[in-house]
Amino acid sequence: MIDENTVLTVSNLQIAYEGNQIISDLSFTVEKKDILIILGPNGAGKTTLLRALQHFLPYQGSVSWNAQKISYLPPQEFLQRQNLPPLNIEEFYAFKTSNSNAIKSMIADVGLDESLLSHQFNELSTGQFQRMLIGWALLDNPDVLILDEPTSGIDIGGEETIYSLLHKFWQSQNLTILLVTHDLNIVWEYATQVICLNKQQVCMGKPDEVLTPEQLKTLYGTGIKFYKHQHR
Amino acid sequence: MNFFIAAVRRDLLLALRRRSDIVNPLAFFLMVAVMFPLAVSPESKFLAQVAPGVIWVAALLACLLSADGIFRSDFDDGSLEQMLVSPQPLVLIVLAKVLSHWIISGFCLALMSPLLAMMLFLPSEGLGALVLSLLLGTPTLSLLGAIGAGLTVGLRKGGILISLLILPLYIPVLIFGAGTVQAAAMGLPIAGYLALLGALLVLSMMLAPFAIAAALKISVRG
Repeated sequence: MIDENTVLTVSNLQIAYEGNQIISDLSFTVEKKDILIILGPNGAGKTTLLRALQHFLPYQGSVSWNAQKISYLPPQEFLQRQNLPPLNIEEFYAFKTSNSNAIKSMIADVGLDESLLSHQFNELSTGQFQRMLIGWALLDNPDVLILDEPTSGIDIGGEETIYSLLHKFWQSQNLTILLVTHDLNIVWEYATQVICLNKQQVCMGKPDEVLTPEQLKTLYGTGIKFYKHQHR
Repeated sequence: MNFFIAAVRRDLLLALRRRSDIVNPLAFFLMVAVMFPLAVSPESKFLAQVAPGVIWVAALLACLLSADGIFRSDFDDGSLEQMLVSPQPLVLIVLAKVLSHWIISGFCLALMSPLLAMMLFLPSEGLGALVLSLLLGTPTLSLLGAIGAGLTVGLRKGGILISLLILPLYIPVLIFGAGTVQAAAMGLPIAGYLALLGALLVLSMMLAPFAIAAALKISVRG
């Protein structure tokens, strides 16, 4: 029987691509209001995992959602480099709601000026673009928000703004967040749960409990230095 | 329903901004009608005889030409994945996209067809039947084309594959569509032909959206 508080149950997940095992034997659950951060080196299977969770990839095992609305933000570089639709921001948002007040309110909530609604995608800076996308993802009040390295290509100030923004929405809404990042600071600051992934589950639990120097060395190899933040 | 309207509006807006989406099928349609008499015979009697078939083949190929683009830009910019994770039923999204495609291709072709009919000396009795048959037949072409587009959207050169997959399915629509115009031009009743075109449309409306949705899932899953 599925616990009402459980948003996602993953059992014995295995993903292979062209004969190579990308992820093997991964099992975990995500509870409502969790901020689950998936941590791991390049090629560990983090993006693959996020895509499999949304059934974008074939897999073995089971992925079971207990959520009605899921929003997904792909990696920043994917969106920035592709042919974006020739729409302004208001027209883009109108796909999700025809309520212009809701659109204006969301644009203000993500810290953007209302005048940007008439701008095309390519007229936004990288930080504005990402904030606009977060607003888009949250526009229809999703139960779960999935983000794949939302701050890649954004400077440190912009990165902090994006995560503060996400944290603000997480606090004010009944939102569960699944997030891939390389940034350990973000894990310490915001995660309620962390999965260390390197083709298989290296660790899972609360960051304070599972992110030990030994675990991080196992995850990333011996080249990592460990500084634990004390502000939580 | 609001979502359906928003999805149609978005696609029509995109088509207006990317003018080639609208202009290319219409230009192709017109070019076939202009080139055909030059290549075969400009004799009016001969052209009047073959006009129903020529116009219908041109309309069918024009629809096929534009079918490849139904999901292409959405796949390229990531919108398709957003549609797959959307809480809205994928079948509804797919229907909205097919409707938009039909408005910018089949509907415009039907409106333009009397001009081509006159260029090819189609008897005036056939004009109404031509427009009606295209209005009833081209939505089926869009629905069937979208199945092929869904299956090939993940491939770099899916255009040729769509033709191979979908052209055999287009044949009944072509036969009954051209047959309607031929019958009208000869002063015969066309109700039976139109009923068959209508039946094909209803059948494809009931089945194709599910096939398209499944095809898109297969394509995105790689």
